[in-house]
Amino acid sequence: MEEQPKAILQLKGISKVFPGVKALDNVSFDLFPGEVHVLVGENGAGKSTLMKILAGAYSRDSGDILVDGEAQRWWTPAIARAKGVGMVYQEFNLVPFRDVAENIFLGHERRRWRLFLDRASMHREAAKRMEDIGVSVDTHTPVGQLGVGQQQMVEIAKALLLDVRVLVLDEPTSALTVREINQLFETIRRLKKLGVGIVYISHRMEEVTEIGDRITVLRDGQYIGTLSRAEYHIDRVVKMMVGREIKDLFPRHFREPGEVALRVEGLCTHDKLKDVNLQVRYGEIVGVAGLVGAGRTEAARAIFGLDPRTAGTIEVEGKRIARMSPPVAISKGIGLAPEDRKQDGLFRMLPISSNVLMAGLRRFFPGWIVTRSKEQKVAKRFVDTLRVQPPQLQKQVRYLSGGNQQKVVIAKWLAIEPKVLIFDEPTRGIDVGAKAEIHSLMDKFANEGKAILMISSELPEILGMSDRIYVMHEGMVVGEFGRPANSEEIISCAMGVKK
Amino acid sequence: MTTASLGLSRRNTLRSSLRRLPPVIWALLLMIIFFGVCQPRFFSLSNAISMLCQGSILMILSLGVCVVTVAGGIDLSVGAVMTFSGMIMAWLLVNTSVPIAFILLATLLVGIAFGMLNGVFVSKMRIPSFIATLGTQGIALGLSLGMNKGYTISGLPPAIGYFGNGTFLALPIPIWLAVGAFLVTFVLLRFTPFGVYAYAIGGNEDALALAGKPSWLFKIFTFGYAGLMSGLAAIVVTARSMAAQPTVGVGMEFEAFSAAVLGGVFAGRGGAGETVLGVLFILILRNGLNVVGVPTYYQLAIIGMTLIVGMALSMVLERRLRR
Repeated sequence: MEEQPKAILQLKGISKVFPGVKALDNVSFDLFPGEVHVLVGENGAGKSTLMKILAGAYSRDSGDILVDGEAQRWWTPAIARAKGVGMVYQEFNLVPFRDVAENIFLGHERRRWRLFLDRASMHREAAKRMEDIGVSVDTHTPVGQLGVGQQQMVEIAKALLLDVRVLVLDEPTSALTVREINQLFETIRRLKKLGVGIVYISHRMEEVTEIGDRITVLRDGQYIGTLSRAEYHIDRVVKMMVGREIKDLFPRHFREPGEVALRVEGLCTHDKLKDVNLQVRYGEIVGVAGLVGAGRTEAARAIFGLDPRTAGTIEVEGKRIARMSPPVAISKGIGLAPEDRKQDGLFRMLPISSNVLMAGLRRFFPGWIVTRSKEQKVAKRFVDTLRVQPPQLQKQVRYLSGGNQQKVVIAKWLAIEPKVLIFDEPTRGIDVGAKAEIHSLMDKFANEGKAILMISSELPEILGMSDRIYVMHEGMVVGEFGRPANSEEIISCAMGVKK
Repeated sequence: MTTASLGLSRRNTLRSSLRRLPPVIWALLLMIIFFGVCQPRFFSLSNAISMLCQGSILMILSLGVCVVTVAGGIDLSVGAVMTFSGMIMAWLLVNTSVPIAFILLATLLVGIAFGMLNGVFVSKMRIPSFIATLGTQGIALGLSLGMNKGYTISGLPPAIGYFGNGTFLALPIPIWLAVGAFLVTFVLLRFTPFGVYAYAIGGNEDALALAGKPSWLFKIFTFGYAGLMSGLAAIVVTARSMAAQPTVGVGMEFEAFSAAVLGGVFAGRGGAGETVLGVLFILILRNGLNVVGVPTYYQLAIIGMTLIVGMALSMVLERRLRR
């Protein structure tokens, strides 16, 4: 009888707390040589945190890391690498203008006479290693000139340079074409034969079933379960990922939607969006669900005219807008509350009053001169309506809490008397009380007859707030759901499972 | 491999290496022809040697700036640091009886110290290099002026003149020193791990940190190297005029930076070779303008304009190439 192989790596009862959030709660994970162990979970389930702990980039608060059954006391990036853990992050860490060989050997250069580089030997070895993983590429090419797929391979070759026994691939296919994905799987199979254990993080169910030997599900920082290949079925995995009950916390009035305010057809951009079709009617909250990287933020930006579109039409109240740009969008009554409100939504060093009037200034001051007293009066009106705390108009917005900063962003758009409001992650980083306030504001706007498009990664928010839901996947709107929507169907749809 | 495919690949590499040449080469050629036609004296050997000898100081400074720029920094202090190192050198030569070799070493060390200080400000205190080195420029310039109440220090021992006006194998010593500085910089950037790290810092600093290397330390070294070059330039400039003037380096940062950038040195790109081309460009431009009779005052304005036009052109070229 064959001997049971021993786990190369075990993580036992790992916990990690960030200020205010329990990112990981008693999570366990193990890996055997020659297997692909898939890790899945919704956005924010704790996958990345777990992998950063494995790489030594984060320290754990409690729990054990065992390599070959031996508990490791110290676990730093250098020790992790020395023990054979190689990481390929979702964002590449390559030096664009330098060649393939130099990137693969970065930090571990071969030397001649101690002080000098042995380029010839590095190129030879780099070419061999690229061939080992199934890619032939001129190792003198700057990596910036390679395609994304080949860059990915350079990253993998880099990770494999030191004797790697555990290879972590974080969303390795998010930027690859179908052909490149097949090549990657070929490489993974070769590595399996060599006895490398692979941790594979992915959102895409088709891939997971094709390449995975076992699958572990995390949800809200907790370990939910591990299924072996024989056991797992997409529906079961999705159920494990969603799991929670969606409580009806959301203030919502019944309303009858009116005319179409915004219609988008066949919207494409040069990089991310492939085919976005959606419409929003007056008096309606439309949710946009999807995984990180599905192109939701890009869609909002393209609709608002921040990024140029390469195809498709945008209609506001039935009229086509030939050239959309933020000034045009604003003149048509469209407002965008962006995802990163600190960076894109506010002038943090300016007082509340200036921020409130930033978009609607010309409406209140058609002439050349902006008087302080009138500015204060106008701003006060909006600050009072939205109950911004503290109601001090001179306070710089960087001193406000997240919820009140979001209210200032909303006030800025109310000042243009908007018809269409686009919210990108309206309650990210906002505490529970303020969240409810933002939600009831959105409900109120819809009741007043405004058209609301809401992008959110929080499924309860999507389900609780929306009258209708679009789901995006890989730059396309792939599904539409009415009320009441089923969370499992939405998750499956967002992960690209074809029915 | 068949001979046919070999020939094909060779032709391809020739074409791509032609395309890979820095665009400044064509500008250089044009300029040489233009000035040569306007004033045949431009082509004389004595003109070339005096130009290169004059230019050795700029060459040495630019090579230091090149290393900092490649690693994603800006060094605006090289001229002032050169001045201050030169003042220290002259003061030591006039007021002490320390052997000349030690004084030269001290001059280099003053430069290195200033450079490392820049590096610490930028790397450890996270002050943008533009601001940190502008501050150091002020410090070094102020100290140079204060040392001798704004006056030149003169009366240096004649032996020191060798480094400015001596010759070796028929070429002036400053040219040899500049060539030496070029070779060292070239080898450093091209053939040592330090070079790889400098480019990595300029191209993607995180990549180097994730590879487990102390990128902050190598960043400090790049500024230290610029300091070393400032010290070397100080020796040449002081020995050439047999005196240390507290304003000798004013404006040199501008020229050194212009030379490196016009040659094609950017964060993560370019190198010693490109820097030499940029320096030759500026030297020939200046020399040609002199020969043609454009007053010195306007030369600075012309270099400034060239810098902007050159950058604008390279931006356009880059966008074209990317498509």
